[in-house]
Amino acid sequence: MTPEEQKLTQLFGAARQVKLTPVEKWWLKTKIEFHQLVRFEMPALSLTKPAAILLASFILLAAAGVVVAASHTSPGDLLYPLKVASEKVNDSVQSFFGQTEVVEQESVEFPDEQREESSEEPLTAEPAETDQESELETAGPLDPVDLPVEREELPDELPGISGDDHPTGDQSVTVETPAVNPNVPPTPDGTPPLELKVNAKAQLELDL
Amino acid sequence: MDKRTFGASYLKYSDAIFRHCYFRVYDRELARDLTQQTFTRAWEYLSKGKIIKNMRAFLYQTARNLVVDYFRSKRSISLDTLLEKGFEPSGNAGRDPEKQLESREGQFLLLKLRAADREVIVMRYIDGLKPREIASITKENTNVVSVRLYRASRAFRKVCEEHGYDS
Repeated sequence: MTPEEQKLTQLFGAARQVKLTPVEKWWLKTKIEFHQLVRFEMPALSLTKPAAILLASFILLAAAGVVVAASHTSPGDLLYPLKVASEKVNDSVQSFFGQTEVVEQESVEFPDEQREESSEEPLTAEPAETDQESELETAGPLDPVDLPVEREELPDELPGISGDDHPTGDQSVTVETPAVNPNVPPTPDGTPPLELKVNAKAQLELDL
Repeated sequence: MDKRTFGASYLKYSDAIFRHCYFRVYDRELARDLTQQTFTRAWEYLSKGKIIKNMRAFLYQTARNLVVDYFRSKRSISLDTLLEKGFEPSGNAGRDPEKQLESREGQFLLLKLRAADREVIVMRYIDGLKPREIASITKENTNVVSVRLYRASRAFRKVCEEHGYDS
């Protein structure tokens, strides 16, 4: 070792003494073992998700209680580590159950009978068509984009719309008058009488 | 490796891995988290039926990768930020105030180095790894590691001189 290396080794001598406190070491070990439990050993227990979270929370709280008792620290000091640990627990549980779901999806297999049936008709084959569907199918899809649009070219000057040809001045208005019944005599002032239609029931009442 | 053997490895190497992480990220809480992740990864590796020939090298390599991942997401360490967060150089340098001062200065000046230089200095002088062991962790040639170590030492000496400290 060169003198410079010896100097550097001496300089960082104190740094080499840095280590975990016993409580930190125990707490880390607990968390690692807990991770192992959730990640690797819980599948053997076949726990449901709520049960896994409940068990994990219970173990976590128990561990926190031991730390409080062993280190004589106030429970308030453990709030943040507990929060972090609970997030880790949640992540572990979520990842575990997420992975098992993937595994279940991958390991799905048809029973032999279904596999035989499915082998006869491949999944890519088109389904059987009903009459109505077949008619619709034969009609074919309409593509409105490709339909030709016919537009008539309008002339620049339309007939009868020019200013000179536009009709102005007297314009007679024809009003249709109601038809006059020839069997009814005219009124004294010469206007044709109005034909009244009376309700039959009212007429009967009047007669009575 | 069974659970009991893994537990023994934890007891044996947890302090060293924590120390390595701490002097790479300068954050005790983060170093604890990285240490936990390192051992968790090792356990996951073993649980897949794979074999770890050199547990110490494997743990350092895993910790190093985790630190690299951390720096990729968090960029770099700022000394000012660390001081704002209440960074205090750690370690028991004994009761000699001069040695305590040296230790504090050394840990502060280490932050002035480039991450690559700091890595090799930490591995060599704090983790106590030999160039051959560092090479197996960083997947480099031993000669390359020796050159990196030489350059990092020279850079550290320059930083010390710039701050009026004789290394």
